[in-house]
Order: sequence, then structure tokens, then C-alpha cells
Amino acid sequence: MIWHIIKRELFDHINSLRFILTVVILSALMVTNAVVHLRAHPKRVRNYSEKITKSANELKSRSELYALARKGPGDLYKRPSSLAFIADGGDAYLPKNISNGESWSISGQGGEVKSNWWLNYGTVNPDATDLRPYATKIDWVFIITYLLSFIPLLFTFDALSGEREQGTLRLCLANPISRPVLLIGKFLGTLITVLIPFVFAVLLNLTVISVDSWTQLSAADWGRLALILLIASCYAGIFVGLGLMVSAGTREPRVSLVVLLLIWVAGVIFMPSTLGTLSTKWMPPVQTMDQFRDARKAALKQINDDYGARMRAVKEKKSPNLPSLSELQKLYETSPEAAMAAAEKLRGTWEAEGDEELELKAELIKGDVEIRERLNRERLDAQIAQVQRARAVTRLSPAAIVQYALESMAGTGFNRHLQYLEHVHQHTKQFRQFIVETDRADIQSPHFIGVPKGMSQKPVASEAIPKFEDKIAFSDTFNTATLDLLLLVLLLGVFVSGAFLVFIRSEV
Amino acid sequence: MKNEDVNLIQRILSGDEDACAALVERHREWVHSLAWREIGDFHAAQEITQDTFIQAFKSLPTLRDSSRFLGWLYMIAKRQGIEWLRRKPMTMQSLDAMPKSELEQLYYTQYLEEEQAQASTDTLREVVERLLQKLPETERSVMVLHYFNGLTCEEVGERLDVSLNTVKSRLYRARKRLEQEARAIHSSADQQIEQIWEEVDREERQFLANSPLEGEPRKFNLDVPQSNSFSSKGHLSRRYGMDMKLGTQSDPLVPHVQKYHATMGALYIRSAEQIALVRKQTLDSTSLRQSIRHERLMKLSPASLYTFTAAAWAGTDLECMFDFVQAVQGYQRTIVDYFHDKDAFGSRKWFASDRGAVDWWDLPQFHFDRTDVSENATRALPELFLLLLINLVLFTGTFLIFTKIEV
Repeated sequence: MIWHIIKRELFDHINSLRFILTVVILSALMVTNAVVHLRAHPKRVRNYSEKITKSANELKSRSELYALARKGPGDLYKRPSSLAFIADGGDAYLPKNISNGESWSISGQGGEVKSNWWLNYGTVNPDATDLRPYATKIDWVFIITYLLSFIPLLFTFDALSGEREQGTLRLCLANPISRPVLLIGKFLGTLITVLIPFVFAVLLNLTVISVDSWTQLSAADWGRLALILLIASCYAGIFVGLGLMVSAGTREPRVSLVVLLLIWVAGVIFMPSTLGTLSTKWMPPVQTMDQFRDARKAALKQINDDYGARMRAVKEKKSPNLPSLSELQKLYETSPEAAMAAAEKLRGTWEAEGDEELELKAELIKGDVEIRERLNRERLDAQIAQVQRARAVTRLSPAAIVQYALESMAGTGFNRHLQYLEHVHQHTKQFRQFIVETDRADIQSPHFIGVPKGMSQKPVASEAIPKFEDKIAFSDTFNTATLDLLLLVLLLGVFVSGAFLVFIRSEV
Repeated sequence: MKNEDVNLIQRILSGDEDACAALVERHREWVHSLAWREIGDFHAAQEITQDTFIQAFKSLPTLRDSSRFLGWLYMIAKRQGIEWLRRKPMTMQSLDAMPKSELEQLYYTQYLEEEQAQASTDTLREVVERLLQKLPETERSVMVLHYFNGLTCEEVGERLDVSLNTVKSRLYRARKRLEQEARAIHSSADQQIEQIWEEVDREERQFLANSPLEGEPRKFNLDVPQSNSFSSKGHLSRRYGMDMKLGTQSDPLVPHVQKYHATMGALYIRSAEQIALVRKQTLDSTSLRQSIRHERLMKLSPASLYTFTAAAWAGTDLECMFDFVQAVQGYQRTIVDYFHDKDAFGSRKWFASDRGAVDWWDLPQFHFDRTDVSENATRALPELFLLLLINLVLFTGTFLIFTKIEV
């Protein structure tokens, strides 16, 4: 019996004008998405490929261990996702790479000390020369969030209220059909009706994209695509359930249409765009750039002062009664030759490097890197926490949930950026470990990392240097999408149950 | 255009005097404009134009490549201008002190703007010509006939004996190819900027070769007391700060330094203007053109039309951004005029502080007034009109359908 109801629903919907319009609109949007992707993706892949090659070549050119410690692993680039056509993810507003930060050097007592590489999370400034007017990105996220929520409502607003108004519902229930069976039949019939044009449009999209040799989908990508279709089906199901619930609770189709439109505008348009902004008002503010710099300056000053005092003590112990720069200045005014000779002697003492000096320098450099990275990380964590909280609040809307789930599965957006940062952290750890171990393997090295004379002077084989490779793994994408997937299933259950309860209690 | 010059040059070299007159007639105006811009004196610019052509005809046999005549003539005109500035007696400054009537100022500003626009078109044409060389012959001929000779697609088809669709597809492919060459425009802009700086360096060297000044331009061979100090590395360093005080032995060199700064100051400003022009052309031919094309396409949608109308009303559209850029450019011109009026570059205070500090009390301040509502409304009118048109079409359609349906 249920199959009979599903067939009847399908037949009714497929013969309607709204079905034809759905097919046309979804196909047009999916083809547009594919064409735009064909134009943009090769450029993205080419840029990435050129940049990682350049970065790898630069790294290869560093054959000294000290140069590796000082300049670091080079620019670390985020791999573009082959499924970027599914979710843009606002990637233009997220850094595409992590590059070497600023460097410093100090001189004076103890000779010259130069900074070592530290992890500096970049900022991003979308291309300022791009004067094009802002236009909505037609990706799958747009199509699914807006159309796969709106179209189910168009098919369901009169599913029960319309039949009730015409009297066919009473007639139908006069037959040996239970209400749950009728409701499930209508639910499945409408869902399949919505999914037929969607799957057709998806196939059209994938066919166009497959023409391009730049987008080659792996088995994992196809797996992700299958899950994305599941997510889309789940999302469409939520709105079919919502439509049936409202339709069951109202007596006239026009009333249910108005109510559904209001809910749709609130849930799909208003909530995702405003809840995040509103939620930030009640969040603790993130440190401003000036506050961050002041905090860093204070922390660095402390270790610098400590280094200066300890180095002075070492030098005074080795060569007592050294003149200061101001004393030299005064001496120059009376006897330039004597001042120059004293300056020469002073420089000689400063530049002499014993184990004590090397140790102090290595400590300074290590402390500097630790402080900078710790403070950078704290600031980044605060920023991430703010975004996470805003995302948690916007999850009140199913549109936001599906957007986050699709971004995670497509390997773009915020979650993908967090994965990239994780890869960068792992690589940084591995890279530093490589430097320490290579230095340790050289028995002639004094093992003071970060100082030219304190490290192994043996050339480093370029093949041995760890290479950074950012990969998009299926397990990572799935894990980050799990919460959103579960929420979607929960919402589906809630709305289908709601429709069931309302229909059971309503009069026919 | 170049071929015509080449023909004329060949005729001149074979003794045809009419060709001389024709060549002068062809280039007299822009040479005069260039000289006028260089020296700011209309009548002296006429003399320079005359001298430029005399010099050019004298040296014409030495011109190896006749197709490069324009650039060669440009260099001669510039050299003549610089020579005139060098010869200009100091008393000529009294001209600056003369009150300029507002009308004259207006004409001059208008002239400069026209001149800039002309230079922009010329350079753009050159860039397009260079890019055209990269197209296959079939596409190039269609592009030239359609865009340069102004023939319609049908006329081009008739001329080349190909179908209208072939012409259209060739035009489409050629346009696509030219778009891809947009990057090349950027690199050629970089080359142009590099050339401008090379020219500055060359003129500076030329100036210094005929001057008693020696050493680095920061202090030349002036008598400047040094301040000595020990750096944190323990090295003795000598510094010549911005507060440079001149010793008495510097006096004979001071006029030369003043002349150097007067010449170089003007040269740097001119070069900066040229560079700005090159960058503007690059922006116009890439980002701006792209933006305008996108905007036009987006206007097919009523939603975008509404967005553009609202932006124009609110004063947040692209036009308003250009208003701001124009205001900044205007301010830059004001500042440059201010420096010129004060003879700042040629004054002693420009490089030495022994006669007291510079008084900046009347330095013009930047201010930007947003366009008024009427201007915003005018800008929004086309989109507003289109929106009304859509309304009208939809209403008429509804009306017609409604009158024809049976009730």
C-alpha cells in the first residue's frame, strides 16, 4: 500500500509545472557551477604547483644546518581541494600559506645574534586590485541550502492541507490506509521527487567537470561525494518533514504556504547571516593587534634583558674593566686614535665566542622562538574559539549545519583550515626534530642549536630534509563533519516525528 | 601611422622639402604640448618646438631605425626642454611671482588633463598593437578591421570573404587570447616604469656631468660638519642628518646644489606622474575593464540592478571610489604647485637647515567632500530607469495577458 502512495505522489509531482521548473533551475545552476569551476580550478592548481615547487627548490638550496634553523622549512602552502566546486568555504578570507615571519638581529656584547625561524600564522588580504562587484558564489552549498530547502516546501505546502480542502484526504483515509502509512508515503514520494532533479543536475555537473583534466577525482573523492549526496538528501528530508508538519496543521494551502515561507526566510536566510554576528557581541573580545604586540614586546624584553645581563657578566669575568660606548664616545672627542684602538679591542672581546656565550645565545634564540610561537598560538586559539562559538550559535539553523557539513566534506572552509594548521604544526615539530637529530649525529658539533658556530657544519643532504605535504584525508573530512551530520539526522527525526504527531492529532 | 612617418623621412632624406613641412605638421602639436608641460611657458614652448624640429632634421641621417622616429623626437624635445630650463636665468622666477588669472589656470589644468588622456590613449594603442602581434593572422586581420578600421562584422566578412559567424567566432577567440595576455600588459607596465627610472638616472648623470658637484647627492662635496658616534657593533659611524648645516666653504657650490634639486625635483614629479599614468592604464585595461564587464552582465538581473542603484544612492559604488582617488590626485597636484610656487626644490632650505626651519603653516590640507545627493541621484538614474522599465514591461505583460484571458 505504501508503495502505491509513493507512486501516486511521484506521478502527481512529476506531471506538475513545479517539477519542470525545478529540473530547469537546478540543471542551469549546476552547469553554471561546473563552468565557473572549469575556469577557476586550473589556475588554482597551477598556482599551488608552481609555489610548492619554488618553495621546495629554495629548501633544497639550504645545505647548511644553521641555514635550515634560521630560515625554517620555507613557505608552507595549503593544497586546494579538488571538490572546491561543492563549497567555496570563504577560502579567499583564509590564509593560503604560512610564510617566514620577520627576522631580527642584535649586536653588542656577545657579538651578533640572529633570529631563528618561528611559526607565524599569516593574515589574508583579498586581492585589492579586484574591482569586480560582489556576486554570490554559485556552489553546491548555495544550491543545496537555498533550493533543496525551498523546493520541498513548494511540493509539500498543499500535500495535506490541499487534500483536506478538496475533501480527498477524508476519502483516502476512508480506505484501509493508516495515517502513518499515508504520511510516510507522502514523505518518501515528495523526497524522491525532489531528489530526482537534484541527482540529475549533479550528474550533469559532474559530467561537465569530468571533461576537464585538471579535476581528477580519486576514490576518496567519490566517497566524499556520496556522503555529500546523503547530507543533501537528509537536508531536503528535513524540509519535506517541515512542509508536511505545517500542511498537516493548517486547513488551507495558502496559509501553510505563508507560514512555510516565513519559516524558510527566518531559518535559511536570516539566522545564518545574523546569528553569528549577534553572538560575537557577548563574546570576550580578541586581543587587538596593538595589545598583542605590546604583550609580545614586554615578554621579549624580559628575555633580552636577562640575556644582556648574563652576557655582560660572562664578558666582565673574562675581560674586566671594558669601556662602555659612551666612554668611547667621550674618549673620541679628546683622543680619536686611542678611542679607535679601544673600540677595536672591545669588538674583539665581544665577538669572541666560547661555550658560555654560545649557550647564552642558543638560550636567547630558543626563548625568543618559544615566546613568539606561544603568543601567536594563544592569539590564534582565541580567534578560533570565537569562530567556533559563532558557528555553534548559527547551528540553530539547518542551513548553517548543512553548509558546515558540506564544507568539511569538500575540504574547504574553516575546518579544512584547522586541519591544514594541524599539518603545519606536525611538520614544524618534525622539521625541528630533524635539525636536532642531525646536529646530534655530528660529534664535532658543540650542539647549541640556532647559533652558527654552535651547530654542525657538515652539509645536509637535501633528500633528508622533511618535505611538507598538505593532504586532504577522507577520515579527517568525515570526522569534522560528523557532528553536523548527526545534527541533520536529529533534525530530520524531529521534523518527521513532528509531522507525524500533528497529522495524527489533526482532523481530516 | 608609423609607415607614414617612415615614408616622410625617406622623402626628406632624398631632399623633398614638402615632406619636412608635412612631418612638422604631423607632430608639431604634441611636441609643443610636451614642451609646454615640461617648462610651463607657452611661448618658450613654441621656441623649443622649433628648435626640436631643427635639431631633428639636422640629425635625421643618424636615425638608424625610421620606425622609432616618434620616441627619438620625444627624446630630442625633452632634451631641448631641459636645456632651456638650465639656460633659464634665475630672474625668470619673477614669472612665478606674477599673478595668474583664474582663467589661465583653468585652461592650463584642462590642457594637462587632455594631454594626459591623449598620452593614455596613445600608450594604450601601442600596447594593443603589441598584443595584436601575438594573435594568429586570421584573428588579427578581423580585429584590426573591426576595431581599428571601424568596419561592422558583416563588412569584415565581405572584405575577407568569410561568413558572419566565422568573423564573430574569430573576434571571440581573439578577445579571449587578448584577455590572457593581460598579464603581459602588467609586465610591460613594469618595463615602462623601469624605463622611466632609467631615464631619470640618465638625466641625473647628464646633469651632474656638467656640474661641479661631486659625491653622493645627499651632501655632494659640500663642507658639512660630521657627527661621529659609535654604533652598537662598536664601529665608528659618520652621520649627515636631515639637520645638515653647511660650512662657509660650501657657499660657491650652494647655487649648483639648488639648481640640482630644482631640476631633479621637477624630474621626479614628472616621472611619478608618468608612472601613475602607466599604472592607471594597466588598471584600466585589466581590473577596471573586467569590473565594468561584470557590472554590465550583472545588470541583467533586477536584484543586481537594485544593488547598484542603492550603492549609487548611498555613495558607496565604484564611481565614489574614483571620486576619492581623483581628490587625492587633485591634492597631489596642489602640493606640487605649492612646492613650485614656493620654489621649494630650488631653495637652500630643501637640503640644509642652517637658515632656520621650513615654515609649513600654509601647507594645503587634504579634504574630501563626498558627492552631494543630486550627483548620487544622477548616477543612480540609469539603473533606476532600467528598474522602472522592467516594472513597465512586467505590468504591460500582465495587463495584456489579463485582458486576453477568459474569465
